Amino acid sequence: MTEVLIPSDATIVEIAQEVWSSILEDAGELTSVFGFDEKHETAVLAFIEITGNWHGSVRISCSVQAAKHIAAGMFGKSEIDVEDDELSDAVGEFTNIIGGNIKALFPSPCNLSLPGVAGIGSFADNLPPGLEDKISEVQVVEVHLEWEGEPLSIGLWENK
Amino acid sequence: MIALVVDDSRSMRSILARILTQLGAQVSQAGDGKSALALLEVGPLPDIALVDWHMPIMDGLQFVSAVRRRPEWRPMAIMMVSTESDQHHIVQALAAGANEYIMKPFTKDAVQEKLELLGIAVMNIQTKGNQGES
Amino acid sequence: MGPTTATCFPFLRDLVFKRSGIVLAQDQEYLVEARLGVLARELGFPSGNDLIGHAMESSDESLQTRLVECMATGETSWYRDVHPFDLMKDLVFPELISRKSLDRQLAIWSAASSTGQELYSVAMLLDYFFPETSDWDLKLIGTDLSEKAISRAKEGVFTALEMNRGLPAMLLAEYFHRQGAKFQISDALRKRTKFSTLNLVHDWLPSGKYDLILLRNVLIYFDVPTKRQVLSSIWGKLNDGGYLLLGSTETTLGLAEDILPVQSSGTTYYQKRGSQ
Repeated sequence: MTEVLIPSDATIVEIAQEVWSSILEDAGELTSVFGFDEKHETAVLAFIEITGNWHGSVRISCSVQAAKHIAAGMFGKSEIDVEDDELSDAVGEFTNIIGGNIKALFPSPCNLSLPGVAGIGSFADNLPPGLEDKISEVQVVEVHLEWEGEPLSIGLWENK
Repeated sequence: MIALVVDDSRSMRSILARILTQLGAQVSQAGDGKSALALLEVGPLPDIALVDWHMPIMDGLQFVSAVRRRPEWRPMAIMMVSTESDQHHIVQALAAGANEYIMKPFTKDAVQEKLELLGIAVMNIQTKGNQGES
Repeated sequence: MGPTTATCFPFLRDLVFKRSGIVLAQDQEYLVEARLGVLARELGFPSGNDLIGHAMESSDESLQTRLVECMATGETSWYRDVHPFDLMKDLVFPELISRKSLDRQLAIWSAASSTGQELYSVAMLLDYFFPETSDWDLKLIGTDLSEKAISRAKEGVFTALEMNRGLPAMLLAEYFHRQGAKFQISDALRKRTKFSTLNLVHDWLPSGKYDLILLRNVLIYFDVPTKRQVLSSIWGKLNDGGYLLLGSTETTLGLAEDILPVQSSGTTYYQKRGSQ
């Protein structure tokens, strides 16, 4: 595989903000933060795989509240009415769009898998269902963002 | 205007359907290319289909090719709506018979402008909290 | 007590009017606040009012420029409103090209070019539909009040969100290449165009005369005397037989009785006749 430039944190943040503001109209801002004070135990995890000239995955974790907010914005309903399957569909599509835009940073050809939503947990503790075979991947980028105090992290994991 | 939205993500279908409804369309939805073809068989023929690329069962590109093999479906415009933004993907979609291409993410204005490019008449129905710009 | 909207808005309105001729109406306060908020965050002020407060106390020239630019930058897209470009394709360029086939020169000016989409739209249209002009002496210039917009126009690099705004996919494939997550217009088109900053109210207009001037969505921001002044000086820059296009909601009615509208292709244009 040829040597590929890993995207900068700033580029990933820019992509996340662009996706956020265009799919969630008037949803308030997603801001970049240095890290989170405490571990958010109950997080929604989603991932999408990139193969080709770069091989790895884009992994997104966010609080349940942030996930509900994404789903509410996409389905055009209030957060309280969001069903579980809508939550996982919305976070999956959010991950798909972010993943597609990150994929575009790598030299083509690269392919994108369908997104997977791994449910609740933490990437750091153990690999959630669907990601067990990605044990050898190492994290190369991690950005932390916040929407009204609710955390959302995006990681790039490379299959070396 | 009658529009057909083909995407495996319900949330994306919901976003597109909402935008199209605000632009005065009657919208039907399908979760993959195969069920979209089934909808076309029943009719009526939509003015435009907005089609995702990556879908299970039958993907967007296969759907576009299948539609373009049927002369009676030729009047329907097709716009790909995809996270794929490589030039060769765009060229491939146009060669298969798509008329336009929009990259995810997009805004309502972008959808409206693409429809106008395709000569599809839109009506901007203003809804509360969603004022179109002048 | 910190500065309030009640004192900030009049200060900003006067500054913007004095520097650009643009009138910020009272009912635009929402838009003004939203834009100020973005600039304040970018420059590290807690709020738009704090930013204005600072601008009122200091005489920071570059801050004032940023404020005026931020208020003067409008929405932009490729092939905006579609119809004016149909008009160029179906009427303006065929007529100009046949009339000027001997001297093989065309001069086109996008007078509020913003980040370049309008002038590049014209350049692509000419190249794609009128390839016979490829060896003509083409003068394609774009001017805008905003230095920031002009430097972006020169660079010709656009985000995916911007590319989505009205650019036919066919032209994206033909005239752009990827640059990371963004897209850059071809070197050939970039070399064919020239962008520079220009204040339509206070500066000398560019030299020479033009066959087509796009003055779209500019007049709406001016008061009536400024509209008249700008319209009359721009009209003076047109060649005989040259065309002027305004924004879809703009008109010369009540501003210049001798500049008569012609309807075609679902839009309006103004053509200078020899006697004018």
